[in-house]
Amino acid sequence: MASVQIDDLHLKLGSNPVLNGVSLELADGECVALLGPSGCGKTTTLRAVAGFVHADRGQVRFDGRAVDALPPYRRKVGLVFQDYALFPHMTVAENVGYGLRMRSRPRAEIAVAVSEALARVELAGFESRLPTQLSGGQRQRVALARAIVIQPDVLLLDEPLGALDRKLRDGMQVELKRLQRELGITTLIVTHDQEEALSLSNRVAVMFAGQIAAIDTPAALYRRPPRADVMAFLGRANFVAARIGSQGWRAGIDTPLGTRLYAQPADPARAPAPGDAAQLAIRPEHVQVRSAEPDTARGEFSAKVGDLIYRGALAEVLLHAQPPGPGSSPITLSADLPADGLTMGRGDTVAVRLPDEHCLIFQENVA
Amino acid sequence: MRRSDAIANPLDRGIAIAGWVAMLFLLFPVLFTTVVSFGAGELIEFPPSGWSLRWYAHIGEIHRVGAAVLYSLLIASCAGVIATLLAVGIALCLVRLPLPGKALVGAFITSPVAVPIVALGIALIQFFIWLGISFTWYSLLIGHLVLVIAYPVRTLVASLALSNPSLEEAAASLGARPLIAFFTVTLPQMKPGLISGFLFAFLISFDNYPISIFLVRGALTVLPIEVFNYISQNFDPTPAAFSTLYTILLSLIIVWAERRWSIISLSVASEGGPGGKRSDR
Repeated sequence: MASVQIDDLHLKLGSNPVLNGVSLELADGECVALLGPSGCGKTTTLRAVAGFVHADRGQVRFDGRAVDALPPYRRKVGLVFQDYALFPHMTVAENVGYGLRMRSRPRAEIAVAVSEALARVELAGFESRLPTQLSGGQRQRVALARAIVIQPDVLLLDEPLGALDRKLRDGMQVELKRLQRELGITTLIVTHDQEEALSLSNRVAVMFAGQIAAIDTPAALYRRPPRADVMAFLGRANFVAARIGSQGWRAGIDTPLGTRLYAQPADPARAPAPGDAAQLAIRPEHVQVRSAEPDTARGEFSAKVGDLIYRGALAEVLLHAQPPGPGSSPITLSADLPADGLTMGRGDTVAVRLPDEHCLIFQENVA
Repeated sequence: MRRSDAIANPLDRGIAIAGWVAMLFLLFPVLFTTVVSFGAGELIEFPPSGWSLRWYAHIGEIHRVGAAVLYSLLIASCAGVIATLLAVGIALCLVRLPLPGKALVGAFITSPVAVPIVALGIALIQFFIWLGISFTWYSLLIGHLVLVIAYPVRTLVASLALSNPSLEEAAASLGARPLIAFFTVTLPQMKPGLISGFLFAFLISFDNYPISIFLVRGALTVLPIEVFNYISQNFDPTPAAFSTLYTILLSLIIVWAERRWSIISLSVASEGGPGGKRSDR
């Protein structure tokens, strides 16, 4: 096992920049998820670590040793492909033992290591099956066993749960987390699924347009995203355009809905100046709604209930608030409310409150 | 499942019937030949007036049939093996390399299929005369190579296109050098293409008359030429007996190869994922 340093990777394919200075460090044994929309360069970054992509500039180091000159077969990297890439003409045992055979280990040692690895992924007894005789979840486990049996410096998972259905995915999520903890293996997960990223990793790196936009623990990144686009990408968010008053943001911000909010800048290093345009952001689960007349002293404003979208434990309620003043267009907010005991219906007028402690101030706009 | 769905649709049922009619039409000459070969009469007659196996015993009477069979087997084997080996390289280039003008190269290599064979034969003989190796074993082999190489190229391109390129990357990540990854992972994926490509090449070469007629003189001979020579001088059912034997042998080989490697499904397989349908057998 090793720590991994990805240092300022740049890559252009033709005139199209794919990586724009990607830097990322994984501590020994750490699990980092690289999360981003498709085309953001996350898979390219993973392939650069594996050695299939050579960056124009920048370096990849394992434990401080540069590996850029090493071909994939000389890097100690365990790679699990999205489609698993199991060798179809080999049995499960032959698949898992492939890496050890390439290292010319003695037969007996390979057999022991293979059955250990298969036991670890709970596939003992499947040695002589062919990949086509396995379910999707079982194939995934074989791919994992094949990658970990070579005791790689770093484990790379490319959309590890992407090809599984919902139920299997939840099970594998727990399994992967257990494996990662037991083996203590440095792991880089590439995914576009935020739930996968948040649940599996110690830290999540959100990637946009060939750059790491933000990196932090899952909870910190979800609760205090440093950038508006990160907040919008990770979970759902409401954004309300506002303007900072002449007294600065500490004096409170007047919202277009006639209330005053005392919120914190998301990125303390980039606090807005007086007079700046700003975005007030709040997660739907923090929007407070009650069926009553709004109490302006409590910072409430009135809104009309639009569509209700039932999501199981929660219901997403769309709220349309009309800012005071002529010609202003209504503002739509989304609120996640417990579905049980939800009495409000479409067309009701309700009182809405955006709690100060859950509001963040961003300076930039979100597309 | 899909088949029964198709039959339920009247349009598809019509197509199925048309298919069977077309197949019978194609099969008719074979059936005709088979029936004729069992005739007892001195001449080809349909239906035969009596039944006999004597024309099968008469196959040995075809002029130089032993040498012709040997030469044909040798040429077809060599052409099949060499064409298949060359095709592995060509298919790898065509499928895996970011080659400019790939389509053009592919079209060029498979063009002997589209060129009239007589034209190809004339071109080849002029070329070999110019080279000074006309009417030799080598020129015959090269001529057959040109004729057959398109087939293994096509089947190998198909089997490579179906195989998953990330398999090689998986092998590399597990420590396999490129050459070892090729032999342990890529080549086994190409096996159906290799087998069917070789079989096609072998059979096309073994069967070929129009190219050989330009390239064969003197002691050098091949089976189709001797059979044709026999037909042009005799009108008895010996060639029919020969053809029937040949057809049966051929069918057995193809059925066996299909059972063993599903070579036919290679040209119709649509599942591109690792494994596809092949390893189910």
